[in-house]
Amino acid sequence: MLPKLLVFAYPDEAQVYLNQFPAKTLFQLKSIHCLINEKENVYTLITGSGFENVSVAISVFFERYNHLRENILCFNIGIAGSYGQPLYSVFYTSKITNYHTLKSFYPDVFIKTSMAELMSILFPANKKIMKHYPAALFDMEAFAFANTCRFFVKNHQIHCIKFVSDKDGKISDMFQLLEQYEHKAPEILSIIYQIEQQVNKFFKCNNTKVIYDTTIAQTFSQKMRLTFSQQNQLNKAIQYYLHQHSKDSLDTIFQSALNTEIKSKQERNQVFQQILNKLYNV
Amino acid sequence: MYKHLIYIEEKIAHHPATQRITESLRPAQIVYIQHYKEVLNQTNSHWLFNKEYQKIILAKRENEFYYKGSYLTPTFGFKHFYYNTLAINCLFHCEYCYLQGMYNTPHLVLFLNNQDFIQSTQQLIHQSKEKIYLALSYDTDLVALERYYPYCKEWMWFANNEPRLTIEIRTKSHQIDDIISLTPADNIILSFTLSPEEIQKKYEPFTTKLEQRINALKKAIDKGFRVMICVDPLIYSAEFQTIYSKFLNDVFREIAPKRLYAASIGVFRMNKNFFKRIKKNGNPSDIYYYNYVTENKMVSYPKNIRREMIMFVQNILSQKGVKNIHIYD
Repeated sequence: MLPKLLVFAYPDEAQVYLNQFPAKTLFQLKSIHCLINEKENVYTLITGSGFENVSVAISVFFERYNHLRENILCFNIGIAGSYGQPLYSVFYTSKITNYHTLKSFYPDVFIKTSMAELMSILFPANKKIMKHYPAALFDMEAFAFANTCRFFVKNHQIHCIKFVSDKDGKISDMFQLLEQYEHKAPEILSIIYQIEQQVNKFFKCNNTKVIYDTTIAQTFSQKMRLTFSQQNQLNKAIQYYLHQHSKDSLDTIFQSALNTEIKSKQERNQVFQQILNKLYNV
Repeated sequence: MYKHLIYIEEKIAHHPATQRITESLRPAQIVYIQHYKEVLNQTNSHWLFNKEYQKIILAKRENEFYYKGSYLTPTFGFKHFYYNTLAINCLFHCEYCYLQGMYNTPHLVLFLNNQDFIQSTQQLIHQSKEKIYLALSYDTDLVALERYYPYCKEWMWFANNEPRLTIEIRTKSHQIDDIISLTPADNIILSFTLSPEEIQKKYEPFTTKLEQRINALKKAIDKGFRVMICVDPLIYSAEFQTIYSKFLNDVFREIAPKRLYAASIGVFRMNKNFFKRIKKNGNPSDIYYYNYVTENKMVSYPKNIRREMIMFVQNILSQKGVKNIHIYD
């Protein structure tokens, strides 16, 4: 199970997921609140709204949990306005644009679900602004979320899922909105699981790095007193050899060399070169 | 290939070819972009992961419709050797390919203003008094892209009326029926990259089998096309001689060497920056663990191995009676 970071602007947006993944507080810093559900490996980060808040919160999170960078999946979940998209529907964002600079971030899309483009704006978008991009969603965090995450993780780990809350920047019935938002949580979770599944599948299938027992190579290195550079060359050659041959045949190559008595650096270098030649089939 | 989403440059959105491609692919999501480089050059991508979900970008090339040939490619005896880039990146995923280190992402860019490329080349021909050799898209496999846009066909029609231009279409695909239905000409060379079965299975997993490529090659010769075989890149292994001699015997059991227009040989070689980048991207192939040497910014086998490999293959080709053998060493 890959670690997941769910980023929300407001506690109200996070609540339904906190009900799903009961969590304890990891840290709280002014408006930033970070919680963890250890069983599901889910981190919830409530940032406060706006570009700056989200950037600061994500930076603080990765400063503290740097070790998660390798494989954590980051999701920005929350509400967004849209003039043209159906109210209370859920979209995975295929393009995230800064409304003010028109710079875009293109998430690595690899699932099949409803998608829409998203505009991130520094202030709440009104009807006039939304009407200009009728198919787009409008929020106040996603661009900063993506741009900050990119400092810490790879693009395929950055995703944004939004729920259409209004058509003109005005929420008429907050109670109904929250009810509908809660109702759509399973759909959002299903997108998250799809993403997790695909990423997991890829990295499981492609983890073909040859892992080998280094004991014999280390014994050889020590006995021959190989230089640091020679040790690196040797490791590379072993990787190459093991792509094509069995581990047993590797041991045989080293056994004969280990029985050789070395009296000078020159002899050491000769034996080392012979080993390299054997490993590279020269 | 991930066809659920495609990227389209706004300036090419209403091009008839764009309409044709979107109608045939029927993507659920079209993302309009200002410039193809926004997506192609996006940094911080995991190249191999994106290759699994490679997307199509439909674009318009604004300039640089042809380039002077690279020093890493053979010039086939032509003084004026050019190549162009009708598409960027490839449908196949050959482990030894430099494309993995050339761009930040593997997404396939198709330039749909092919006629602009053709017009620009026409101007080049008229300006130059000598013959010109133009390799069509070394940065992709154009024949495999013919289903999206008829690049080869349009260039073959053009070449039929431009005797001073020789075009080379190089491929690993076997789907050539469409293009060999056109009129052959002396200035159209169809090049087939062939590799031994062992190499194809190990390093070119998505390409067509050797047998299929040989069949395609035979069909092209029968139709009267000039056909070149490219045994490039030669990949070294302990059984190199056994593998390549069996391979060439198999090839020439099916094809009479005299019917070939030419053959081209080259060992594995790559720009050192591309090589470093591919290793950094985490390509697990054993190709990237060999003890190469770097000469003139190029990574390749040590000279003695290069020479041994080239000589070995060259000798077999000569013995078989292949006439024009081009060597890149």
